[in-house]
Amino acid sequence: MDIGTVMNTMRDPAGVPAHPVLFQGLMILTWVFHIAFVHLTMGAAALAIYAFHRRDKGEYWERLSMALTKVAKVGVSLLIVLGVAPLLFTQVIYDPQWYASNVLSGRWAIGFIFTLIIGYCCWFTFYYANHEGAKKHAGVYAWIALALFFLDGLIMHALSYQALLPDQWMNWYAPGGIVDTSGSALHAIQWPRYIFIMSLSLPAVGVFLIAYAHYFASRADREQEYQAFARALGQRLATWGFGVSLVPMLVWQFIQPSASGLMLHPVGWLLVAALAAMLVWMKRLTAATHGYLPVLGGLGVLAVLALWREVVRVAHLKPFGYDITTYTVHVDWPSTLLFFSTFVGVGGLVGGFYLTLLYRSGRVQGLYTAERSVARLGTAAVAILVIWIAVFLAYGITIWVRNSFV
Amino acid sequence: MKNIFRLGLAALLLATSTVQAQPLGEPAPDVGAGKKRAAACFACHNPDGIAKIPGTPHLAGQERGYLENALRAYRDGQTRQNPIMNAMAKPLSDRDIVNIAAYYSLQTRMNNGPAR
Amino acid sequence: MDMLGMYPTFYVPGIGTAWVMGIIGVIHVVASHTSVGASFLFALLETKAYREDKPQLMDFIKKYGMFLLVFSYIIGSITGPGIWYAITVASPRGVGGLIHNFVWVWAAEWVYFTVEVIGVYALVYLIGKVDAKTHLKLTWSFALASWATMLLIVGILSFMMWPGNEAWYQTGSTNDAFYNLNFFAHLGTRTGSMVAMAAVVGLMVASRLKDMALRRSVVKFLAPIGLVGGLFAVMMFLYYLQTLPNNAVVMLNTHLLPVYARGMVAVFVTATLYLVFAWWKPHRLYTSLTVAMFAFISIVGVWPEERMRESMRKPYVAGQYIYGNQVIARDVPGKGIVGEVDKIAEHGLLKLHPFVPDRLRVINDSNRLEVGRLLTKVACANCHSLEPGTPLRNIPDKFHGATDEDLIAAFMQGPLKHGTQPYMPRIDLPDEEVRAIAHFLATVNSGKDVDHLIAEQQKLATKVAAK
Repeated sequence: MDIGTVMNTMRDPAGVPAHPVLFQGLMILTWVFHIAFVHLTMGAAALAIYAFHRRDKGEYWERLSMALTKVAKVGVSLLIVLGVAPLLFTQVIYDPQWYASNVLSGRWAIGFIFTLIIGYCCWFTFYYANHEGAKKHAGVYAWIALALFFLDGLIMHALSYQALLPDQWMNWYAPGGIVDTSGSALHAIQWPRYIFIMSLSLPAVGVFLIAYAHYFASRADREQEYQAFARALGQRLATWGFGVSLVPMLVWQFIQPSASGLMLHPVGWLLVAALAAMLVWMKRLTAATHGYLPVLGGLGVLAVLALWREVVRVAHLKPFGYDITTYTVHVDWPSTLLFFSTFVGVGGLVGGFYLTLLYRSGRVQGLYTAERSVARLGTAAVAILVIWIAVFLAYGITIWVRNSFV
Repeated sequence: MKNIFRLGLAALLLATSTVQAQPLGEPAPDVGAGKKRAAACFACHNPDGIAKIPGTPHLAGQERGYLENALRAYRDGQTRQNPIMNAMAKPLSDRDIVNIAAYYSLQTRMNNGPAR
Repeated sequence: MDMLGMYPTFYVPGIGTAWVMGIIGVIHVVASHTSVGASFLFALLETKAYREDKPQLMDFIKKYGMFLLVFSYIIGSITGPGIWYAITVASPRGVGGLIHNFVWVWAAEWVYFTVEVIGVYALVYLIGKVDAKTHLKLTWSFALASWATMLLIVGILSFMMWPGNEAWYQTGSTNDAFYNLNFFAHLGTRTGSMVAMAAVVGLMVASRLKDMALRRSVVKFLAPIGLVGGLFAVMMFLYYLQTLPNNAVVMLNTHLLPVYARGMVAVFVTATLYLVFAWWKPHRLYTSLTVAMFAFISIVGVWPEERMRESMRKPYVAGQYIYGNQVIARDVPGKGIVGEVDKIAEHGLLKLHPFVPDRLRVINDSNRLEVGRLLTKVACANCHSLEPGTPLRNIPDKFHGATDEDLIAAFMQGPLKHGTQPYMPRIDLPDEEVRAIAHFLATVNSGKDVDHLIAEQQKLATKVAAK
């Protein structure tokens, strides 16, 4: 059977509830934030471990290790939750590829969940242990956690990459015509791509440290020297990191299948250029530059990466005749409205309230008393939730009564 | 344990009852063979002959002759037409029918049947 | 050429993918109910602390918040997508069907999750760092948001059971799918259990309070809330049972209640007695016992609940239109979905399934056993393990060890072909395929090592081909 036709048949018969390109856009956009926290977490975890083993070289290292341990702990939770959205939107338009790839490596897909839980618990243990004068063996938990996080990254990479190679699926499922339902292998890994994406953890923690130093600059109770230390370290890591990541990126670029035309595709080279530009910028960065700008620059790089990833996917699937725009559409307005209104209302007001509160209170020494605007935002956050729930239930009861009883 | 006892009792009963019930020349039904052959029937009628699926009859203690006749009629598919039972009875030999009917007819209905 | 949009099969021997999902599901329900429960508990405690000016209570929230709220929240948020992964590898078409009906609902839930992850850290870290009133808003908004995620997931879960009426099949509208017949019953059950669980979690926290007067006031406040929550959950569960489709009722009466009913009653009685006891004698509250109580509810209460929910909707995985074995069971005109059972009856799985190796598409004497095994995995293994004695309703035991090929085939050509077993899908296959499956099952039941036999046959076949 022609695998292109097979893929188009494997699409969900229900079709999609809005234009496929909308899901594609949301997928690319939400992935940027997911991968940003992946990089931050991996970078922070690695540096926290490095700093943990350098504690006797100076108290700044100890303090940095403790701070970054906390960053990685929060980072894991955010990367997980931010990963849900791209995972969801991928399944909407690329369900044949994603599901086939998962099924073919079923044990790894399940293993991903359990290793992530174990890794997270290990990191939590390390977080509880990593205080002034912590015992050296606490570092073991951190190492296990980091190793598991890298393994999880590899599993996600393989699942994504296998999805791009539909002509291989049958060979993996039934090599030599003998069916294997065990899902026990990762069938395809493109090391340069995996190493490149993972390598961005280095500059990520670099630009984070620059912003970190800037954030606490307003706090008189925090030592200036420590902030200077963090900023200098951040700049060094960012400079080196962008430089190092260029190598696997270029390798990835040159191993793209020749027929795909990806090797010369402008978006790929734009990514190379963005990395190089960040490298030069980070090398020349002076104290005059606002501390948050490098983070924004980094997010820009990731936006190009997210786009490039999608370009690569489209190029791989096109020869098979798979094109998301031909997905059947059954527009469902009420649920579309539900998402966007929740996004704006709850995301904006409640999320906005939390972020504002965290940001403002962290910059104040001692107790922070909410200004009027923040206090109002808090009231609005509670109010929008009450309204949301009320509307949700009232609307639901109407439909429920109409369908089930009338 | 209880089942073995019950089966033993059933066999005993059978041995005595067949004396009058069995037409001359035909060998006595083999309850064990009937049970083995009926394994696929248990999916609906259960090994103890008490069905749990609504609409499925209990067979425990059902009249042997009736069961035999019913199975034969299902097998022939003329007088009793039922897509499930026609298919189920089709592969049965006369011997199978006698054995299976004996197996179910010798069960008691007292145990854990749902109140209906 | 005709084909079906089927996926390759992933099979876990013995427990099947169903138990893998069950295990992840239990971790998820325990973790997420704890965190949602804890969020309301903390909101109530904080309100009390604020009104009655008892800042000691805030120290408590700070002390236990990191574990009860953050840790359980994160484990919940890993295992939530974990359930997705599990159903993806178990029932790719089932999860696809849900995703394509509910993508925007899930996306809305994701907004809540993202907001909550930020909120959970804010809640714990900002205790004592922001003014009390602002923090109270933070805690209450977090609790409300937590409940909202429950509202959003319950509609999807209850649709998996069934829509309860024809509306969705005709309109295809997410509204009609989501607010199905058993939505409110299901929501009530979960909300009640969440409150009861929160009370038990609260007792765990309270058992650590050294100040007896404070402990008494906290316990006297929580215990009745927990009792009402538990009672409400039970009442809503009884109502829920009234909203179930026939296949679920049959499954419940024949297979599930006999196994699980006692455990569930035991959980309810023990939890009730424990809450009453705590209410009566707060100073006799010991942490170890409360933790044991919580573990008891989690294991003896949640495992059956998750297994029942999964089992009851059989033969379907979603909306009474997709069978467990990934075949579309019926037409859904509102979405342009067409049932596939008749098509399979006409052409057979071997011809229509895209993931069948060519050497197995035509049955012959040297591959019948192997084809039988593949077809059994495709058509049955989503709900049944193939190994005798294994826990996932294994087929050999379901056939009571039947070794007669002809009668196994008869069962497939009778009840299965016509779909008369309420909790079994209608599986109508061409004769050749029926015989291959029957051959395989009879061989398994006779106690032979099928895997070895198949390997031998494969070796022989390659030798013949080489010549």
